[in-house]
Amino acid sequence: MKKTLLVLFLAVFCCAATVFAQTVTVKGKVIAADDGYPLPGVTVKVKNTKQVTSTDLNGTYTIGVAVGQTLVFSYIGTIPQEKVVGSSGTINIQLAQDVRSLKEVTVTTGFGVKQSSRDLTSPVQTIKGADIQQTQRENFLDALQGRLAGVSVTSTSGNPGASSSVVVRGYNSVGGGNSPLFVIDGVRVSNDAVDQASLTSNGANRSADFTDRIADINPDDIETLTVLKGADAAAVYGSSAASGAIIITTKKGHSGAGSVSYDNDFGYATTYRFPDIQNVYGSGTNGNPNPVYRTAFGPAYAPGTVTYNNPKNVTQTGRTTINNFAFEGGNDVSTYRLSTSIRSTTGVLPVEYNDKVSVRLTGTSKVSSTLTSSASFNYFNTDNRKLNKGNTGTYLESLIWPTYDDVRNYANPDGSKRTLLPPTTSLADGSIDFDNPLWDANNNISDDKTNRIVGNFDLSFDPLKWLNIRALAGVDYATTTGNNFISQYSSAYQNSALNSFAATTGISAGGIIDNYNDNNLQVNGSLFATAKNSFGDFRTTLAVGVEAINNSNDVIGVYGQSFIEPDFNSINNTLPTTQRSSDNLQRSRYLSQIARLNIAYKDMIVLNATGRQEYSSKLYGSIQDHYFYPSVGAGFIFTELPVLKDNPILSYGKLRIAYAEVGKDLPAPYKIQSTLIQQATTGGGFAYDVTGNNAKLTPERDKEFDLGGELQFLKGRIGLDVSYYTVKASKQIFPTRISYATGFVIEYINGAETENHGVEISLNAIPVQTKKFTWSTVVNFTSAHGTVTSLGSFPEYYNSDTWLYSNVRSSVFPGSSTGNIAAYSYARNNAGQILVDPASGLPVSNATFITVGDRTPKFMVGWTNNISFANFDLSFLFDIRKGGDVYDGTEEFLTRYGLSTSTLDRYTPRIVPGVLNDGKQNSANPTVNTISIIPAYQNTFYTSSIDGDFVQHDVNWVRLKDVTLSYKIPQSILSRQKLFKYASVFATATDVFMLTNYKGADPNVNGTNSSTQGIGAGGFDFGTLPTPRVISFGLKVRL
Amino acid sequence: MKKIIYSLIAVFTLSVVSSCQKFIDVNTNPNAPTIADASALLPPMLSGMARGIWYDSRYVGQYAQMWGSSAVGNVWDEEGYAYSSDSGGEVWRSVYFSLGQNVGLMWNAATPKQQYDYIGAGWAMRAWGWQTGGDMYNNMIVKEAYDGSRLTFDYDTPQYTYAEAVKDAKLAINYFNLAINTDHQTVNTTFAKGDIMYYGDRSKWIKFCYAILAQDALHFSNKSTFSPSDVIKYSDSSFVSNADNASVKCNGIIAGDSNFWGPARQNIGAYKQSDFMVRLLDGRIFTGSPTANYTLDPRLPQLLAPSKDGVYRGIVGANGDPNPTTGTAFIPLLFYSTPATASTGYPAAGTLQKYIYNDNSRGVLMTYSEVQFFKAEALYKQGGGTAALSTYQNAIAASIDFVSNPPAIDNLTGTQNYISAAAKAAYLAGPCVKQTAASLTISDIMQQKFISLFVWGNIEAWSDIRRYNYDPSVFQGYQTPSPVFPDNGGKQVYLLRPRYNSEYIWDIPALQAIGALAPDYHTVKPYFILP
Repeated sequence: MKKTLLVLFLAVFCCAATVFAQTVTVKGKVIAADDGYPLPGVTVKVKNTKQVTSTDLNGTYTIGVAVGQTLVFSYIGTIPQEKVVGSSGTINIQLAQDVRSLKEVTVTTGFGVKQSSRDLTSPVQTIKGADIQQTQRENFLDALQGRLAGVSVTSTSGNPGASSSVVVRGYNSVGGGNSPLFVIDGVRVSNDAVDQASLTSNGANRSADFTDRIADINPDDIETLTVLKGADAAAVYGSSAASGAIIITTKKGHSGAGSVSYDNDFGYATTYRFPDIQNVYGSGTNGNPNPVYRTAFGPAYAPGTVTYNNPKNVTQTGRTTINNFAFEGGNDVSTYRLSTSIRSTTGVLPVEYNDKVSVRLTGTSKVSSTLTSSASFNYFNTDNRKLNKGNTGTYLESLIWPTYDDVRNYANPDGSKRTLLPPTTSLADGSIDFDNPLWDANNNISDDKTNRIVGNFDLSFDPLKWLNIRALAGVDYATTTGNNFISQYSSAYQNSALNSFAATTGISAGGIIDNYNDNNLQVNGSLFATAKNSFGDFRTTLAVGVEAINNSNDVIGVYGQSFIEPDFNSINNTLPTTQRSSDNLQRSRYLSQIARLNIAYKDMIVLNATGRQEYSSKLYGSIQDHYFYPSVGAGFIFTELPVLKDNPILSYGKLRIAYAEVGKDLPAPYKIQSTLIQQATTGGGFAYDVTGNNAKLTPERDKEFDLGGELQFLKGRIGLDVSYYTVKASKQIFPTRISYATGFVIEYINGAETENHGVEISLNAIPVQTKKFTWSTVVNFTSAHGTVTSLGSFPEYYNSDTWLYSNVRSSVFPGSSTGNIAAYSYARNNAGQILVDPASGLPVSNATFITVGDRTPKFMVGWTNNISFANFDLSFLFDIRKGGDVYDGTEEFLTRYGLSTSTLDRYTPRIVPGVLNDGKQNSANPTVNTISIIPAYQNTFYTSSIDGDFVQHDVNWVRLKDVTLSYKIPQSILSRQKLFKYASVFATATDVFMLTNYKGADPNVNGTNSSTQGIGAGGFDFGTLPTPRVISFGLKVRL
Repeated sequence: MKKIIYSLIAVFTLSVVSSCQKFIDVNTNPNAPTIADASALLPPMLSGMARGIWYDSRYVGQYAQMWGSSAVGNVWDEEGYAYSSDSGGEVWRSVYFSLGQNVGLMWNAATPKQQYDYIGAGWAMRAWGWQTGGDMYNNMIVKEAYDGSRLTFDYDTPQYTYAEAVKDAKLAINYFNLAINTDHQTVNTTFAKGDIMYYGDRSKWIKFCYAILAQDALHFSNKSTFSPSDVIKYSDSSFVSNADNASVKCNGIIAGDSNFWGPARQNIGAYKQSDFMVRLLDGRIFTGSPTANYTLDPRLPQLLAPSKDGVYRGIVGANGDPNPTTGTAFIPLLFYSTPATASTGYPAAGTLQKYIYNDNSRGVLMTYSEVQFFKAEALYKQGGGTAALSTYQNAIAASIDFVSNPPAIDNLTGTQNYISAAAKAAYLAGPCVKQTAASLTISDIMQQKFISLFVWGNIEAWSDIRRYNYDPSVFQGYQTPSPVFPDNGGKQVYLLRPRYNSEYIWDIPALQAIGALAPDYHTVKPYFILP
C-alpha cells in the first residue's frame, strides 16, 4: 500500500515537472461557503493533468495553468468545484459542505479522541453546533429534541431559565439517574440542577425550578455535538455515562488572518395555548353565591356582567436580546478564539427574566514537533429571576383568579395588596386565598445568581511514531446564590423549617426567607497512552489509561421567617428564633483504569473491546466498592467485499453489533451507613433519619445489546442508520418505602430490574441537489419501551416529588411500563362495574394507586429539512409524537374549582352508570344506580372527581419545533467594501405551532425539574406554563 | 524467581487497590454523624413515645368516647377507621422508627462506657413499646424487627409480644439496679443529661418498669391465669406519688417541641369532650341524679369546657356537635374554662392554659393514680374489702392532685393548686366516691379510672373498655354509635390496624397471614382480653 502511494506520488511529481510553458499564474482564495472562513489545505488541481497545489493557511493558492484549462478544487467534506481558467488571474472559490460525505466523518468519542465513524461499533450521532445555535434557544438542550434519534428532551416549563431533562434511549433506572453525561472537549462538566430538598426548607422538588447547568453553555461555542447512545459510552466514560453521553466539541480558532465576528438576535415570545376557562358561573358552592370561596360553583353571572380573560391579561410578550462576539486568529503554531455571549430574556409571565453572560477563551499550540497543547477557559454569569410554579404558582394563580375581576388591578391606591377574600391560613381546597398572580410575581422573589468557571487543558505528546501520550484535565466550579423571599402578605405557601417541614403560607409565617448558596466543584483528569500499529492487513490501536474524578456539591442554606420590617429582603430581617441553617455537602470520587483495543482488518472488519475497572466512593464501605465491566463490538463493512466494492448504488454498508455491561453505583453518596439527623423535639439530640442506608449494597449491572446497520446509497446521497437495542438493568439500587420493622421508613436496596428495548432509525437524504438549489432532509425515528420486571419483593415504587396534585403520581409496579402513571381510580365490584355511593349518587374512589396510564410514546419522529437556494437557507424541524399518555393536572384543578369549561353543563341531570355500593354490589343482582344528580347543586360531583379520569390517553402531536430562514449577502456585494468579509441576516421561529389531540395547553412539560431521580414527572402537566412561541431575527457579520 | 515475580505482582496489585480505595474513602457523611452519645439519642426517643400516644389518642379517644368529633358521622366515632391512612398507626411508628434502631445505637454507645442506666432505659422503652403496641395492634413484629437483612417481616403472636415486654421490663430493672450498685447513685448527672423524663433518677425508672409490669399483668384479667397478686406486687414496687409519674418534657417553644394538646399545635379543634365524660364529672352517672351538678367534681372546670350559656355539653357517639357554631350551645375547645370566653378560636401560642393544655405541658405516659387503679381493680377481683376501697380512694385523690397540679416543663408535678384541699376532701367524702367496701363496684373503679386517664391515657381507657367488652353496666355512660361503621358488620371495634404506609403496602403477605386484610379486621378481639 505504502509502495503504491510512493509510486503514485513520484509519478505525479515527475509529470508536474515536465509540464511545459504557455501558462498563466492564477491566484485566489478558497473559503467555506457556510461561514466564509478561509480553508487551508484545499487541493487545487488542473483537470486531467497531474498538476496540483494546495491552499495555505489563509486559504490562498497560486498555480500556473494554461487558459482554457479547468481547475478542480477539492477538500474533504465539501463538494468539489471546477472553474475554467479565463483571462482573469484571480479565481476565488467558496466550497460548500457536502452533506453526503458521511462516509469519512470523524467523531469525537472518548476523551477528545477523534475516530473515523468507520471504526465505531456502536451507534453515535452528530449534529453541528450551527444547527443548535440557529434556533436561538435559551436552553440549547431544547434544540436537540427531534434532531437526534433516541434522544428525548422535556422542558420543565416555558419560563426563562427553565431546566430541561434529556433522556437517551428511555428510562433504565427506576430510582437513580437517567441523565446522560456531558463532556466538553474531553472533560466532564456539570449538568446539575438544584434539588429543592437540599434547601433548609427541605421542600418537595416541585414548586420551584432550577436551571440545569449545561444550559450555561453558549451555543455559539459548539462546533459539534455527538451523542453516544449505548452502554458502550459507559465503557468509555464510566458509570456516570450509563445513560449515554453527550460530547460537545467547541470551536477553535482558525489559523490565518484574524477575524472578528458578531451576531445578534432579537426575539419575541408569546404564549398561545391556554387551558379553557368558563366565564359563565361565579364564586360559590352548590349553585349558591359565596364570595369567600374560590370555587366557581355559584350562580351564573347576571346578564351584562363584565368578565375578564385573566390568564391572557397576565401574560406579556417576552423579549430576548443576544449579542455574540468572537475574535480569533492564529498561525501554523498556535490559534486562539475568544467568544463572548451576552443574552437577556424576559418571560411571557411578568417580572421573570434570565440574563446570561459567557466568555470563552480557547487556545491551541504546537509546542514542538511532538507536543501539542490546547486549553480553554470559560466564565459564565447568570441571573435568573423566577416565578413559583405548581400549586400557588403564578401561572395557576392566573387561571384561578375570578373571572368577574380584572387581575391587572392588583394593588390598592396606597400600593398595598388588593385582596378579594379575607386572607386565610387554611390550605383547604375550597377557601384558600390565592395571591393575585401579578402581585405574586412582583412581591415574591425567587432569584438565582450563578458565577461559574470551566477550564480545561489537553496535552498530547508523541514520543514515538506509534505512541501517543495524552493528558486531559478539567475544572468546573460554579457558585449559585439563591434568594427565595415570600412576602408576609402572600398566601403562597412553602415548606417551613420550623414546622416539621410542612407547608405554611407567607401570611401565617409572617414572611419567609429561604436562601441558599450552592458551590459545585467538579474536577477530573485522565492520562492515556495510545499505541497504534499495523501488521499486514491489520491495523491496531491499544489505549490504556486512568481517570480520576472528584466532585463536590455543597448547598448551604439559611432560613428565617417573621419579618421585622415588612418586605425587607434579608435574612437579617427575620426573627432570630425562627432562623435555621443547613449544610448539605455531597462529595463523590471515582478512580478508573481503562483499556481499549481496536482492530481493523483490511478496513472491512472492525473489532472493539473495552474494559473498565471503576472505584466509586459512593460504594465505599459496602461489600463491593469497585466493579469491572467489559464491552465488545464488531463491525463489518461489507461494501469492502470485492463483489460490492465500488457499487454505483450501494456506496457504503456496515453491520455492527455490540454488547456492553455497565456497573453502576448509587444516585447519591453516604448511603452505605445509616446517618443520624438532628431533632427539633425537646432536648434536641440525634435520631436515625427516615431513610435507612444499607451496607450490603452491591453495584447495579446493566447489560446492553446493540445491533445496527449503516447504509449509504448513491455516494452518500441517501443514508440510513438503524439500531435495535435491548437493555436489561438489574440489581438496581433504589430508595423504596419499606416496613417500619426495619427501623426505617425508606431504605436503599438492590433489586429493581427493568428491561428496555427500542429502535432508532436515522434516514438522511438529499432529494434535490443542483448548483443553486439543495434540499437535504433527515428523519429521526425513535421508539423506546421499558418494562419494570421486578422491584425486589415490593409492590410499588414511586417518587413522592411527582405527587403534584391530588392522588396521581409517577409510580411503577412490577410488570408495568417505566413510564407508568398511577392514580386513584373508580372502585368497582367483582364484575368490574363502577360502584356508586347510595347516599350521594357519586362514584366511589378506590383510594388506591393503580395503573391509569403510560407516558411512553409509541414512537417519536424528528424531521429536519435544509433547503438552500442561491444565498437563501431555509431549515425547519418537525417534532412528531405518536401515543403516550399525559396527566392533565391543570384540568383536574380547574374542574375541582368549577373553572373548567367541562363543568358548563352542570345543570344537566345525569346518572353515574354503575351499581350501588349498598352491600349487594357483589351479589348476583347488584342494584343498578338510578340516582339522578345535578352537579350544579351537588358540586362534590366535581370536587371529588376521580383522579384517573384526568389522564389523557394516546396524546399525539405534530409541532413545528423551529424554522430558520437566512440570507447570506452575496460575495459580489461584499467584495465592494473592505469591512465585512461575511454577512447574513436571519429570522427564526421556535415552537411555531402544534397540532395535537391534547386538550390541555402543552403536553410536553415536566412537573419537576431535571434533578428529580428516576423516571420523574415528564408528562405531568400541572400549573406549568406552556412553551411559548418565539419569533426572532438578527444578523451575523464578520470582519 | 517466578515466585518472586508473582509476589511482586501481587504486592503491586494490592498497593494499587489500596491506594484506589484510599482515594475513594470520602463516603463518610460530613453533614450528619453515624454515631452519637447516648445522652443525645435518648431525648428524641422519649419524645417519640409521647408523640405516638398523642397522635393515636386522637382516634382512640373517640373509640373510648373520651371525646368525639364535632362533625357528624366521623368514621372513628362510628368505630371504623380511615382507609389508606396512617391514622392510628403512630404508636407503630414510635415502636419501630422512633425507638427502633435508635435503641440499639444507644446501647452501642452506652455499653463501652458502662452506662447501665442508658442501657436500662433502652430496655424500659422497648418494654413500653411492646406493651402499648400489643394492646393496640394485637400482633406485632418482634423476633424479626430491625433485622437489616430482611425486607418483609412476619408477625409474632401476642403471647410472644407480651412475653418480650415482661422480659424487657425485668432486664431494664436489672440494669438500673446494676447502675445504682455500680456508682451508688440514685440520681446520676450523666444520665440526667439525656433523661427528659426523670432527670437521671434511676429509682423512678425502676418504678416505671414496674408500672409496665403491673399493667401487663392486669390486662390479662379475663384469663384463667390472671394473677391479681402479681398486679398488686408490681404496683407496690411502682409509683408512690405523682412525683413518680412518667412524663416527657415539652419546651413549648416551636411546633416540634410543644405539647400536642397546647394552643401552638392547634390539634384539638375537631375533638370535643364526650357526653360520657361530662356525665361522669357532673355527677349524673355516679349519683344517678338526672340533673347536672357542676360543683360536685373539682376536676370538671379544669378538664372540660362549658358552652357560652354556661352548660357543659358533650358529643354522643357519632352524632357530632348538633349546635350551630353561631349559637350559645356550641361545644367549645377544651381550653376554655369560663363561658364568657367560649369560642372556636385558638388562644395565642404560649399563653397560659389550664390542665395539660399548655404548650409546655409534659407528655404524660403513666401516672401514680393509674397504677393505684391497677391495684384497686386487682384487689377488688381478689375479693375487695377495705384494701380495695382505700386504694380506690387513694387513686381518686391522686387523680385530683394530678389535675390540680398538672406537670409542665421540668416539673413532674406542678404547684398550681388549681383545686383546693377543701374541694378535694369534699369530693372524696361526697356522693361520687364510694365510702364503704360493700358498696364499691367494679364500675366505680373503672369509671373513676376513666376520669383519671382523661385525654392523655385514653389508650389504657380503651383497653379497660375492651376488657369489659363494652359492658354498659361497667362503663355506664358509653353509648354505642348507631349505626356503626359499615365494614364492621355490626360489631364493635377492638383493634387498630398496623400502620398503613408501613404494612399495608410493603408487608402484605405477613398481614395476610394474620388476617389483617379483612375489612372487619378492626373488630377482631385481641388476645389480651380473651378468656
